[in-house]
Amino acid sequence: MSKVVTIDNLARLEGHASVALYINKSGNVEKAEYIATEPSRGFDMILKGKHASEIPRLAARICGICYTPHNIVACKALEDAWGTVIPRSAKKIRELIIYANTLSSHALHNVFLAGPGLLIGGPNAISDLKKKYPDFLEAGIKLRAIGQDISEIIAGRKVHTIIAAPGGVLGALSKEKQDSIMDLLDSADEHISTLGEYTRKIVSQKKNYMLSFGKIDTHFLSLKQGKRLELYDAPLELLMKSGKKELLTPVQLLDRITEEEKDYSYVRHPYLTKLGAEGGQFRVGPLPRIQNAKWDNPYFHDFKKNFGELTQSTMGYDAARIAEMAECVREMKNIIDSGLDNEIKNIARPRDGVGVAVVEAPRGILLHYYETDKNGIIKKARVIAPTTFHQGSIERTTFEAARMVLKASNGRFADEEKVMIEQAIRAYDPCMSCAGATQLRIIKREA
Amino acid sequence: MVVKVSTIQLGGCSGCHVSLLDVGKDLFSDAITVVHSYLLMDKVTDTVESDTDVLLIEGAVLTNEDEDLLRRIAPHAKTVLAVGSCACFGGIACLGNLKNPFVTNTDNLKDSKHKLHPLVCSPKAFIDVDYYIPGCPPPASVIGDTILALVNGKPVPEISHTVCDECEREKTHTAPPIVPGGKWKTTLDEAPDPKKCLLEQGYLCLGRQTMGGCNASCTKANIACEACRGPIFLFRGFKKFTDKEKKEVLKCLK
Repeated sequence: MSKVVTIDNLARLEGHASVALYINKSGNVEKAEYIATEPSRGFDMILKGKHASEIPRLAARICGICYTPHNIVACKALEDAWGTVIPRSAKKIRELIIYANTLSSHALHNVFLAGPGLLIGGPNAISDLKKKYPDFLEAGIKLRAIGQDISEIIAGRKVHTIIAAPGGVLGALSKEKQDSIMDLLDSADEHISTLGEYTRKIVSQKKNYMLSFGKIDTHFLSLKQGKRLELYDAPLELLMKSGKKELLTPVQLLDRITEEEKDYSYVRHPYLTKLGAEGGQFRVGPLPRIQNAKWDNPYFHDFKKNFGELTQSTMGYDAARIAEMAECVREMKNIIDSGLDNEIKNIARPRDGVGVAVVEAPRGILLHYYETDKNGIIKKARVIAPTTFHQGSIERTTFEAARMVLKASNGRFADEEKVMIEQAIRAYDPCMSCAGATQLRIIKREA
Repeated sequence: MVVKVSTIQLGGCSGCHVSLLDVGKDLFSDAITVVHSYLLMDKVTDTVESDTDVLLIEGAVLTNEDEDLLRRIAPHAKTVLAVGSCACFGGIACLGNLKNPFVTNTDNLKDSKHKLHPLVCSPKAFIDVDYYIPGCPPPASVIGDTILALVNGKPVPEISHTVCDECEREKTHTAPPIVPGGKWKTTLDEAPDPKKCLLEQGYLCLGRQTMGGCNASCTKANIACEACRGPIFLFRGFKKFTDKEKKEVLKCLK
């Protein structure tokens, strides 16, 4: 009979989740369960029956951190269903605001959520952060503010930006607005280098920890990366453990995955059907994106030097984010330099159709699926968020991390050990309100 | 004196917590200490049950645990703030009630405390709320002003103007045009003229009825107001008709 220990209410992650560990008589971890306790709000049912014009703004409310990708991918999916094309500048503005959102989300995670644990560790990390590393906190607050301010300039508000609509975006970006974004971006570089220095220090001081803690082996899924960070428009690329690559369309992805229900969690566990629940797990997010990218910034080169070409290190997520932040700033500058005009919106004409689209949210691939009728009323909606894709991987990471931690502590399971296990989970930056958006176990209603 | 602030998140999206972070440096000043917060703590402990001066609640009651948590914590707080439209009115989370999607098979769920609440509702169904800060999410400036007022012992600013009052678009103050077929223009149609009143252009902008304080941020960005801050009269209206204390009025309304 194995003993069950739990970590209730994981701290410093978005939403609610807990962990249950099954420990056998000899003190070894037998099984780990990652329990999504975030109550699902049933977005698939909320969206069903609504007019398509309302979908992008309702979809943004799925998540309070990555609202922009939800808003934009909903538009993209509806455009896919109706064959609507969007003007060139609209695409650029959408990219701009996704980069801004990624910048602030990563800054939030690296500084407030993961940072304290990596820099200080132990059960009082965040209260010590202000005293021990004020410059780190300061840079994080400022960098996050830059991302949020850019969102505000483009969409009028910082959180739940709803600027995108089927057919383009609603507001153009005037010359003055472009100039103020440029000013903000110019001040971002110094904060990124502050955070970058800290990341460098963490990786060099705790190299072994960063490389091996909570390490598992999975496949990887991201948009195909090239010389620039692609978050909006690129084919999906599945990178197998073996190094084999394959391009997919969003529809093919939906065909290939199975979502397994668990009796302890609100969220299903997706995996590649062909390879089974054990071998078919794949990860999304910053780590897969950096794997075969060819960016050019110092943090990217650092990452490749420390972690190698193809790495399975879970903690690599935290190191990959800094490279992405630098890339976000560079790409935003490039977009504004390339020029924007006032042609931002085409009229979207609803028709009977099925649309599915993906974008890269800060945490990874985000998929929306809609069926509409000829008047634009939603017949079926489905959302698969990055953290949903991660459920199985997080569970395995928890298992590996718990095994390592309990081995080192000789079976003692106190606050320090709990905090260490949480740190491994935090690498994925789990967002439980996204994950539970539509993955409710719904039984058919009696007529 | 250091003011102890706690935040809790029920069924929500964390957007209000993110907006709270946007308050920025004021939140990390020496006058405030965050004693409990899922997002800003090392370990979610029982300190939440110790005394706290200001309790911020995000989200609507979705699970049985949410209700227990509220009933446990609220009596320990001197001032309770409902932050965001979910905590004020039920918001997006309560849309689930309309279509009854929660006919869910949660009986399978091992842990009964996380089972869904029979009816999704806002926290005021279970506890007394002192101040409401509606919005999806409320602007950081409004949250910041309210917290700072409480910290400094000043009266909390009450907003008594609409989004329309704050909006700088050209208005002729005529009725909106009657569009053929009686339909409003939507976000599927062409982008609106950035200078003229959205309602007068035929877009369903709800700014005329909606509580202000957001600086008309959406209409400035060419987006019609979606009334995320809720109707204005709910909050200021009753004050005009009674000389009773606010708490008493709210009690009667409940």
